[in-house]
Amino acid sequence: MRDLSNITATDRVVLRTALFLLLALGIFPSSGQAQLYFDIPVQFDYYRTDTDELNFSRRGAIFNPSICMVVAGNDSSKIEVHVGIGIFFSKFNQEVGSSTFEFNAIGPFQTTATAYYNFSNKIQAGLGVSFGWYAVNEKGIQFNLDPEYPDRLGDGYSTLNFGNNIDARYNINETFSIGAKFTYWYLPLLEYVKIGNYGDFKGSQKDLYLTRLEFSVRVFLNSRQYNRK
Amino acid sequence: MKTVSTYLILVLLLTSCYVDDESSFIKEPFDPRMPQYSEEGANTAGAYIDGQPWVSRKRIISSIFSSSPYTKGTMNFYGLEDSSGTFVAFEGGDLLLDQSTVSCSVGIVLGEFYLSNPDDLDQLDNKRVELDGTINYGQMILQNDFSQLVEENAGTGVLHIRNVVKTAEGEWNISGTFGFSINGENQESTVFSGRFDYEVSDEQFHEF
Repeated sequence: MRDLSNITATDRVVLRTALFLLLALGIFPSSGQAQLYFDIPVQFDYYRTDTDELNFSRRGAIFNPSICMVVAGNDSSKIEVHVGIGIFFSKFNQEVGSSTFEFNAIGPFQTTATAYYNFSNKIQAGLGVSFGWYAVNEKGIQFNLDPEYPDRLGDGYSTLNFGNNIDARYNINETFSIGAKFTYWYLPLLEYVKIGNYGDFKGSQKDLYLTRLEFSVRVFLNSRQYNRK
Repeated sequence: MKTVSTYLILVLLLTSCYVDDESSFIKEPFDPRMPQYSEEGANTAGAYIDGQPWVSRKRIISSIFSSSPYTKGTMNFYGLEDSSGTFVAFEGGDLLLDQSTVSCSVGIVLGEFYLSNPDDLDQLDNKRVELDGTINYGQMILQNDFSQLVEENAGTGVLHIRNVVKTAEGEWNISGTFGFSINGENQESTVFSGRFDYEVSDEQFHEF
């Protein structure tokens, strides 16, 4: 598991940002200007690589709810701005030879900010940015009876990523909304140095990219029309 | 009575063998079957033998059927006759085939270096040793039988000693990478992309 005693400066910035957003989610709705809602998606992650030597694939669908709010938007505007916060969660398999290894990318922080255009009172489409903070670990609890010699996954997986998303939604009524979102994550998840046939180190290479498709139901805690009346 | 005997036999079998893992297997993300190159005394080695992963990790196996524990997956240094060199052996590894494993050891003869104790390792630090097939050469032995060196199956390639560090009095860590190919009369093999990281103390030095 990730060693929390080695928190870097980048990690601290991410933690502070997460804390700020959590506070914002708690404060803004009470001001009467924002609406809180739960985004409840089924998430499908697709992994691709630049080389045939690596074989990664999605492992199942993921149920990964998050809490979100409308931070800007009123009855006269065609534009709404939403932010959401949740955990980063992705599951993938790596196949090497006849062996299959199962990994989880789990982190305490994933946030999205999306600007929606309301085509009508029912239909809206959005463009946004996503940010994730996570650690990749092999699936399952690693029992280690000898702390002097811990088995572990070696260095190479990234811990941060960001992407862009496009989102289309249909508002069923004042409480429920359904939609689909596609997120393109930009940063490679894996950086590795291969050892050549005769023991020479090859140059560092980056690979393994993630795209994500989500189908979600949103449940608004206040009426979706709360600010639009 | 029969049930009691069965339970006794089961308990005996379950407690007959105890494995003390004295290695940190640091999985390489590119290929998690292999140990990642490290410099911390992980007590592991790995390579691809004819394209199949070979892994060695230090383990002490105790058994009630044996008077003393058995250690496998070690790195040992054998002084050759007349101080003519050293045979460095990664003993007791496993060659991982699709459906099974085969015991296999990998060794390297260093004709230019005579190493009789851990402090002699210092002379190897940051050395690139050409395995020319005559003075220095690689060996690959199935079933871990190193009773003699098979010079007609001498492997040619390179050994890189990348890190040698003293950790305590008489204790050193040594890490490196290697690769060689064998084109012998009765053996044709490749031992490629090798890596090792071991703790070394006096008990690993022997006469061949």
